[in-house]
Amino acid sequence: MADQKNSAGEAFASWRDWVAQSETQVNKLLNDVMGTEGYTRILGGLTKVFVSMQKNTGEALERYFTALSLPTRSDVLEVGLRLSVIESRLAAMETLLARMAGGNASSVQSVAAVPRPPRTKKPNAVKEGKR
Amino acid sequence: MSATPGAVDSSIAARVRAEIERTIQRNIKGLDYLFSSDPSMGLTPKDTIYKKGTLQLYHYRPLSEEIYRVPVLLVMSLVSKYYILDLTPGQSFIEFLLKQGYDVYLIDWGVPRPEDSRLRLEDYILDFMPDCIARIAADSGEPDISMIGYCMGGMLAIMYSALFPKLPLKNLVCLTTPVNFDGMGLTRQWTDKRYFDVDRIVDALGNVPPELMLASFDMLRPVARVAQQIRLWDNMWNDDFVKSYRMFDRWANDQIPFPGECFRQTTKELMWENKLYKNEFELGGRAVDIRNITVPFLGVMAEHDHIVPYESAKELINLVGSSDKRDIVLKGGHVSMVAGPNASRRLWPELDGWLSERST
Repeated sequence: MADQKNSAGEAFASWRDWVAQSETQVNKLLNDVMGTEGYTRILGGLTKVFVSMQKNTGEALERYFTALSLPTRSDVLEVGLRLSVIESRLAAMETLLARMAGGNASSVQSVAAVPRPPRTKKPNAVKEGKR
Repeated sequence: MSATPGAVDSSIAARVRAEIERTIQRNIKGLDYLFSSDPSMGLTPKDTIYKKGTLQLYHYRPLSEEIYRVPVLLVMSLVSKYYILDLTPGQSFIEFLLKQGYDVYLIDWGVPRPEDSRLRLEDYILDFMPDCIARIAADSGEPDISMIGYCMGGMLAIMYSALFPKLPLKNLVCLTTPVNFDGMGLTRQWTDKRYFDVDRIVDALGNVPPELMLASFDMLRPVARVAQQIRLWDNMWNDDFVKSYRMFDRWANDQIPFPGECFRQTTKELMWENKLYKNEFELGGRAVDIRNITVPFLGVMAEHDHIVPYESAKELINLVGSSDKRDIVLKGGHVSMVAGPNASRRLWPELDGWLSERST
């Protein structure tokens, strides 16, 4: 009677178990296939195709934009790189200025107004030992 | 004693009723799910104390009345977003550390820009990390520091600690950190140098696109996404489950590009040659000898980690030169180190017990 109650009561439990077990088994099965040299060779080939497509598309678009006298991705990247250099130099100048002013040598000022608690905390074991 | 037929019938009826209610809730909340935005994460109050390119060094505002003397620096992986360490109040590793009385800093590497494809491990270990650690010393006024590295962040922490053993590192904690790349399982197989043309990828694309990273992680557990969708539907009535699912799902899909040169270096020198494990790895002409690490060390691994398999992480404790060292092996997977019930109920208190004794 108890068995009947359990099996009737958890109608979805066995289905949930089945999902979990199936996931493990199918993952393992597919991983076994994916672990073969043949799969690695195919994957390597597909990656090459993906990379070549990306590269060719990029180059074609670059030519297209150049023909239209529009900035290409390389141009934008070049500007980005120069901006990074300017950012770095600004950060260095900020640091230098902060040092000269005797302040914290940080390129981004922390919220100094936020009070810091004292660094006096002891581990609980030490505290309990003292009691 | 056995149940009477009437009692069994009412029990069945109650359960059927519960399933019907759940089905209704699934439909109602399923619609909510489709039309609501992703949950916000990484909200623990913090200040950015240093910025360089995409790198940001955060200082989290303390949440206790007194803090341990030694600040803690969390080093994140290069290939995932930092907010997995700060999911939501009550499920945040960072919030836990703050409440336990630690002064917490975090290096967020940010999302690499196309021009960052030239960055190599040397840039991270010999330039960015020392810079951040100097800033922390200036900000906290404390010379010592404890480092906690997660995944590839642990690897960066190891390399830094091995190269600068005389710097004031007090403790080192590595969460699911690969060191023996022969144990990387399918990832190693798929990057077999006979078939995997890393030069072509980096030369053509610069940074490795996040789609490629996500596809490789997904391939490690090919049907996991389908099973997760089924579980989501099954638990759609449960608000806590749905919230948790959405947070993890958002993080798992929120992949970032891998800086190209760093990927080339990692693939060739670590994945193919396994140089870090063999004690042959060099950065800037200096040997990265893990035996140089002599500070107290805690290594944590997950038994069912499919991204950093146990086999690739287990040897780390034998390589470090520390006399005070310990490892913990958990039952869960890769993310269960830093988020979820396994982390909050088991690992975090254990980590706190270990670190607190060494943080004064």
